[in-house]
Amino acid sequence: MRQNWWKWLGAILLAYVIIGGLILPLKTGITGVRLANSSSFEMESGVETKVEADFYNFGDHFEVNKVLLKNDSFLFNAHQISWNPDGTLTATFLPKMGTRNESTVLYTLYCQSKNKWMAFPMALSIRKGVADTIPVAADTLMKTAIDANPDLLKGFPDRPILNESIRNLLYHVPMWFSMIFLLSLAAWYAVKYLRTGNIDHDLRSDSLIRIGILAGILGCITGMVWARITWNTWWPRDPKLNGVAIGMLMYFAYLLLRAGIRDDHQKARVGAVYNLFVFPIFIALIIIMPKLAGDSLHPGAGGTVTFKQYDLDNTLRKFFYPAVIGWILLYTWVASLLYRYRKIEYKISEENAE
Amino acid sequence: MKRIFLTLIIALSLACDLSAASAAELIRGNAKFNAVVIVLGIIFIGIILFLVRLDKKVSRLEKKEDMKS
Repeated sequence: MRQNWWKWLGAILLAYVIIGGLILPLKTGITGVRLANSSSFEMESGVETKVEADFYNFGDHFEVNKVLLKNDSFLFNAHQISWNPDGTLTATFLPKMGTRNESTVLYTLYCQSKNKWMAFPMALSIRKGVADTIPVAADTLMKTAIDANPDLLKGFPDRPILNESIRNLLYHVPMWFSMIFLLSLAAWYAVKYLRTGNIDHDLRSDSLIRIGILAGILGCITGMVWARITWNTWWPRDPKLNGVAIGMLMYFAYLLLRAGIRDDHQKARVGAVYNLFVFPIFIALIIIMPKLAGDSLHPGAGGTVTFKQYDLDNTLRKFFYPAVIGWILLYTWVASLLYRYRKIEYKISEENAE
Repeated sequence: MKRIFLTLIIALSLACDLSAASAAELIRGNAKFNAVVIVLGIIFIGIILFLVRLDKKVSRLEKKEDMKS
């Protein structure tokens, strides 16, 4: 019992993450923005335009007291807000763009409900006109109010495209964290084996790699399903996916290499050397290359090293970190089962040889 | 083993197509909860499949030991 505390910890964390992750509702959010009576997303400067917005998960006492369109330089207030019978909101804008603005620019739509701001990024664009420019300084106060974004309501954030599937952050992402953790541990044991020649270290290293590959395969399949339902394709164009595919192939080659050698010690030595050779390449492929490549569906690519505030809000954080720890502990547990089996098997085969 | 994987893959693609069927629901965001359920199911099945395989291996080892003694 005392030695097994980490298994219990893993089980409890996972129970918390799975139950909480499925039960907690999404916060009220904007799911769609469009021009009323038109399929276009472009507004004309100086023309009064009606904009329709869809909301998700709003309750009985939900009200919107301010709607604005904003980007880094400009801000427009809706001068009229009304609710439609079907639950959508109509806001009327009179955008005025100055000559300072050369082309059409994308705007984020913000709605204020009580003290809380909801945002729908890249909602609409406004084509340049000849009317007055609103100076940047005028909206500084508003900007800080929005960026502070007080987290008053409980629930997961509602992001465009992701919506309910944002919960997958707790199940799909930790697969990769676990895989990287197990493979690093395997590399550590490979070093230990090469230094001591103790076959026990090799058994540990090999078991960890096998379970790491299992986590990787599960991460791949779950990622594909997620992409199919949200982006409508099994394999989006993303440097992270292709890097992982190559990395997985390298570890499959490790399995083949080991299967091809009969002598136990030679198998262990070649396996450990290959493992140490492959591990840095794998890390480069899944962490460094996507960062250099830029655009990616995954957070942490192209610029940011850690999670941006936009990627992970405080509610999600309370579940995400336990999820990562819980899944890592579960996979380590599974790997330890495989290791214990392999050890007994090895002992028996040694006895038989004598 | 192969048959299990094949049925799994077919069931999976069916489930995804079904859940992606209604475009209106997809825009509103309700249908995407299915993605979470499918993902959790896949992880569960994956780990269980591994445990079943390990179980079989252990049984084989036990049988071998019994034969020896």
